[in-house]
Amino acid sequence: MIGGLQRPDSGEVRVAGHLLSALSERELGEVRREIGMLFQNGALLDSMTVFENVGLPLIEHTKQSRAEVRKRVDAVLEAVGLGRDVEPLLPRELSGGMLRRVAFARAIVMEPRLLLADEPFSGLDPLNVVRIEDLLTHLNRDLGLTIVVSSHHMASSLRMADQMVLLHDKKCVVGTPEELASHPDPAITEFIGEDGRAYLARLHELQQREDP
Amino acid sequence: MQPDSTRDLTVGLFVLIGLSTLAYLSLKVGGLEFSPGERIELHATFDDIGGLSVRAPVRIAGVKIGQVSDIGLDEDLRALVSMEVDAGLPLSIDSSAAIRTSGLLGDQFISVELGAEDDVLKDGDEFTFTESALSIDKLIGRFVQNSGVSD
Amino acid sequence: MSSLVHDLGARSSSLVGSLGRVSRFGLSLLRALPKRPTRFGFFVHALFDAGVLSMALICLSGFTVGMVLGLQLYTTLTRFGAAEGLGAVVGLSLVRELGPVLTGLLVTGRAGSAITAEIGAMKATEQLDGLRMMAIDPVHFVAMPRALALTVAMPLLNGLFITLAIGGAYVVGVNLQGLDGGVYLSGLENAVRFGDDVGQSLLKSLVFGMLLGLIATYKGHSCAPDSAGVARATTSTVVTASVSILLADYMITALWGV
Repeated sequence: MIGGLQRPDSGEVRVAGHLLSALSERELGEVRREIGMLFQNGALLDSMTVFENVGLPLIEHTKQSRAEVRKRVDAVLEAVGLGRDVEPLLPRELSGGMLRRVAFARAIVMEPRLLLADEPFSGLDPLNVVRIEDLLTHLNRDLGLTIVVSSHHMASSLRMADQMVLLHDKKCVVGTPEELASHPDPAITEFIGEDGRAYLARLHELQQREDP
Repeated sequence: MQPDSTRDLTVGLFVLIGLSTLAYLSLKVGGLEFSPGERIELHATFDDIGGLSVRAPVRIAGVKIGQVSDIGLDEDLRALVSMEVDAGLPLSIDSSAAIRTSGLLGDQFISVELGAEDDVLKDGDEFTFTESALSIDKLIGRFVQNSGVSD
Repeated sequence: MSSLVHDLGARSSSLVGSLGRVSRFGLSLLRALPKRPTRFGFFVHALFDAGVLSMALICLSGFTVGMVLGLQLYTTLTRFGAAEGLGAVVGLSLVRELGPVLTGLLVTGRAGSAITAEIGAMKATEQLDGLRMMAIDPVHFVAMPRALALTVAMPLLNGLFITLAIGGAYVVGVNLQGLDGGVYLSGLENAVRFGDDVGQSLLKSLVFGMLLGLIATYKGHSCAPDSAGVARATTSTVVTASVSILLADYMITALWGV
């Protein structure tokens, strides 16, 4: 909905000052060039190679030469930990983790100001989860990218998030990870779970040890 | 999209084959002519044109030289047939036009038989001598009549 | 009784609604046609799928239909002592009706259904949404090259079908049944006119190609994003396109004045 793929039943969505529901599909296109989206299943075009998939937004929307596109694609693929050897492969020849990382590369190749990530951790092994987490944190902390993540993966969310929104039973609760962990509603603390609380407690300890 | 030369080649071949079949159908089967060349219009009147239709071929010695362009009636209510014929053929002015049938049930066409004069037919001229279609009905009728008389 | 009327109203309003959506989709296809970049590479790719891969089927079917026509018509015509008419009858029926209609139906089954399934699968796996999020119009990127390829491929395949069928009837009529080859071909060439017959054939195949292109891409774009939805959309393409082709065939024949 933030990307404008679906229109809200009621209320309004504003991205960078644009009221999305008031825009036509073409005007939405202008806004979307500032947005990168990471789909849950990658949504890579399965008739095109990895290189073509990642380079597609560049070829479509910029006047960069073939060599510049190649350089940029190499760079973002390296940023997600993939080598040039995957470029001629088709999406169906990749493993789930690689697929997710290629999709990630495509989402950031245009250097968006906002990154939407739909369930970036689901169906991945722990190693890949950490890798994606690092990437997201790096983009957010070092490059100043706004990132919206939807996830059921509580541990990752608690580790990374500045602000969390919990949707539960038609209600939503907003707060930092710490605020939510000590929320009075037992349904919410249960959702965050034992692991989450233990993690937060340890994080808290670490911070106190560093702070003084 | 990486260029794929084998695929491009087969697509090119496909288009080529498709176009050549269409060209065959249009030019050979359909009889389409791009440059019809110089044509002159000739007329002929007949008592009976039988089943002659517009676009029926006009032939000399079996070779097609043109086609019927229009069929109508003149003031005397005789059939007036207009035909387009290749220009430059020395058709003498006493040539005759006859309506013939190819085969027993085949299409009817106009057969031109050359005369002996030195002057030739020009655009808009009319054949002086014509021979109407041979009608099988009439033939049979005449045959029956004749045999009736002889009895 | 009132429920029957109610039902009729609901059905007709849904029919009008879907007709409206199809025409709106057709308009967006037309608007996408001159847009840059031209997507020529995709068009060639789609022409390969729709045209080249249909060639074997069209050749085989054309030749077989020609052979059947040759056999059936030869025996029937011989009964009236008019076997020389074989070329004329085969030529006219093939060029005017059988060629465009059978090609249309065969290509619907061979290429139209595949295009719906492909676009439907792209929708189910969020590839179309992915394109939209990259500010790329999926109608321009996915549907337009394929619809255009069907429109271009149809007349070419039609020509191929008719030519092969004329050959098939030649083999049966001349080589097997002993009709004179010259009689067959001259009968064919005298009966078939470019303006009336070949022109009608070309117009029909072009219209059928556009209809199929519109229906196949629309069904793919509007299908429910799951595997059952893709299956339904594919079936619906075959049914809708076949019926539309037959209806359009009748209308063109009637309007042409036969």
